[in-house]
Amino acid sequence: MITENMTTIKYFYDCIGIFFLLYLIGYSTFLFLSVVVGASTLYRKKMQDKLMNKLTKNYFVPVSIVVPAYNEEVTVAETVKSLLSLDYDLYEIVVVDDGSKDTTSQKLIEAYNMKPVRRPIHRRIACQPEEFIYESYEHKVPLTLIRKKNGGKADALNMGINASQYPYFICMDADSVLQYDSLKKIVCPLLEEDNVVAVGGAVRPANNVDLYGAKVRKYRLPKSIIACMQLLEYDRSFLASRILFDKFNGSLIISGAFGLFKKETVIAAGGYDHSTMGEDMELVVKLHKYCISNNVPYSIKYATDAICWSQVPERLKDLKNQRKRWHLGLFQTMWKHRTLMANPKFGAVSFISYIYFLLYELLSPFIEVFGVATMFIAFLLDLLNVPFMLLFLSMYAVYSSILTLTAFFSRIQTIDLTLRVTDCLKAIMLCFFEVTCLRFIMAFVRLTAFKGYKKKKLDWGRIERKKINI
Amino acid sequence: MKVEKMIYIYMAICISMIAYNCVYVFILRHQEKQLDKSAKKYYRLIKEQIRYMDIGIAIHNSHKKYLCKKLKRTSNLTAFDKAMEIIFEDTPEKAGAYLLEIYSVFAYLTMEYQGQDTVKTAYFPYIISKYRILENSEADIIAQIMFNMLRSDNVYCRENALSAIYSTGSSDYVTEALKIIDSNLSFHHPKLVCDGLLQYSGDKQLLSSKLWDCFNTYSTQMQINILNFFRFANISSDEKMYGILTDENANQELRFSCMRYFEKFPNENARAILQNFAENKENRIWEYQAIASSALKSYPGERTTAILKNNLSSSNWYVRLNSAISCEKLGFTYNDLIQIFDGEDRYAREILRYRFDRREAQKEAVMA
Repeated sequence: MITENMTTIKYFYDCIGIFFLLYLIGYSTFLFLSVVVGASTLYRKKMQDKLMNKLTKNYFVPVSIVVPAYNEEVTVAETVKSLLSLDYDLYEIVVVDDGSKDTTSQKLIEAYNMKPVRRPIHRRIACQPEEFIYESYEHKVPLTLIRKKNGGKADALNMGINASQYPYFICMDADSVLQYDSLKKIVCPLLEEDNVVAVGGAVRPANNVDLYGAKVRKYRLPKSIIACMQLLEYDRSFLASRILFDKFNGSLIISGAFGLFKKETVIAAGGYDHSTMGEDMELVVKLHKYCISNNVPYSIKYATDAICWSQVPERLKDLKNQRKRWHLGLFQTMWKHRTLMANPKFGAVSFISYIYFLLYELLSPFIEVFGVATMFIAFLLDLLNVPFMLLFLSMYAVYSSILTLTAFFSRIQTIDLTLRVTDCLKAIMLCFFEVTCLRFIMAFVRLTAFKGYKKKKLDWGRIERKKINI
Repeated sequence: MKVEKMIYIYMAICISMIAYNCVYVFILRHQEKQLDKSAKKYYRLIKEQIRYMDIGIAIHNSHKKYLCKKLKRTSNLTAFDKAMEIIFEDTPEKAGAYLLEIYSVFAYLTMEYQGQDTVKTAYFPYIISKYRILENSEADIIAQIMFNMLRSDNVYCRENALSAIYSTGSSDYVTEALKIIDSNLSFHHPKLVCDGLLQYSGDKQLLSSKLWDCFNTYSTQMQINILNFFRFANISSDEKMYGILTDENANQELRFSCMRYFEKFPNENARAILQNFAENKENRIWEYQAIASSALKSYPGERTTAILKNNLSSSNWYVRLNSAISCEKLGFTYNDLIQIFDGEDRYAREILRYRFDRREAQKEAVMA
């Protein structure tokens, strides 16, 4: 009986072994490909810039910048100040206060001498009603503040789209800073290619970066270890997967912190979804689905050099909350658009992007934690070759760390930032901890994301805000 | 152990990537130093030749041969560019004369760069455009190759070649270039064409007459770009524009462009037709009514007032908005529009009230 049970257990472990083997080969191949493609794309882009392969004239595409804000009294005025110093002529700023409980609106009205107007809103997408509207014409570009009834971030963005007057809009977070040249850079794909309906920008952690007039004055890695590890993670993710997905028009995410969209297409697709937490991802997936289903020629691009500086959580508690929200948003989007899965109609978006997000993003915490648990049980049952396991895991960690560092240094070199030697050493040391510790902590955190799921539906997801000095 | 082997392979490649990063940093720093050094060398060489030219000695063939040999490499061309930039700033006339003398070098290099990687190819027309190599010379060989570059799939190549052609100041070259861009299957954004034409350094009036001469040979999109260029460049073309505006068979986008033209340059002949479009008795698509309502801000009068007041109650948002903007721009006061402010049409009232609020806010901003 015991022998029979052991045979079953061994068979079970053989199956698990094969599964993990395939899973890791898949992931490491993807990671490798994406870093190689990402790094070479960035280097080529740098060469293009050097050899004047760029649109140097002022070809201004009119853009509305929509800034949804909720309890952002600490940062909102500085964010608008940075937006007013952008090197671009034809844009407007629309701040949507989603019923904040603090003095977000008052801060803005006072800082920019805004005047009340009785403005009707062309409501093309459903959203909560406005309470008051202020405008200001004293600045470089028109500035509008719309205070509305609380309805969540997606609802605030929809209000911003309704109120925007230009054919393209940018969504960004109220605690982020767009680099001075980011608008010029993010509109470039629109001029280079036909049928571009959305362009994603590159989000970089702003913690400990000295920004003046929306330009980087001094670049240092974040002091907080958690923020620093996120920076490495961002570089791997932005450099790696997004550039690779961009090559076959398969991007499923444009970060809510910085993205440009064609207004008419977004409205036709139904705007931002109020019911999901990952409204940024949901919109992009919906755009794919809408365009393919209606035979609308389209492309979704990623502008590697359009940079948005954003604060990342410095406390583990904030980071955990943020990642839970992201994971829930991912789940809601994947579930809502499950018809994309293995559906030939949607081509590479279905068979590569969707499957990747399903296996390596949505299910990865379950798979990783399951892997750790089976390893532990195998150890107890003496079925584990411990030296081999340690070798394997350390090889895998080194491999991931090297790729992370490649992504990090490629990014630093190609956007002309200079790093201190101490920062280089810090990055080298922390990448190993990011791959081993942070990754597993986040896997456990994401596992628990579904706890209290219903309560969080319209929650904005707060992290501790710090005033950005610009 | 197959997995280990595979991961070892990946690791080897990753380590090579790290090494590549380090080498890249080294090369980058070395290149910067090398660029400065080369630029200084070219500066000395060019200055020397300019000194010879000052005393009536023509540029020596060996100098031209040297340039032909060296400038084939983009690293040398960037250094040459850096040196020329400084010389141009100090002595623009002498620099221009020098470039004219070494025209044959550029003719030779044009051939060389044509077959290179697209990123390098695109750099060459940028240099041609920057130093206006095509401007004062019989530039047929280079111009022909610039035309070839317009057929490239690479947008930067096309755009830089177009800039080089605009810098010639030749209307014949520009009309020809637009034909090539038009026939190319690669997408070239209308904004790039229209805004690019504004860079044209020659006689814009002459260019406009050439463009009108071959107007019908262009595609509709290119025709729209040309009409928009006329509007932005303030080129008077009332008669032709009126012809398109009144032509029922003309493409509607062309007619919209003409309506915008007559908004910017009011012409009494266009008044009635714009008013008719704004009235929309013929039930055309709403764009006619919306654009005409906007254009009417340049045609004050009783009929315009009546039409705009009526359009404030249109069911279409854009017609209402444009009519309200026109009412605001025409300087109507609250009393002029009291029927609407006191009327029952909430939408008309709201949009008008907003435009009036806005006008006040803008006035206050100007005062401040």
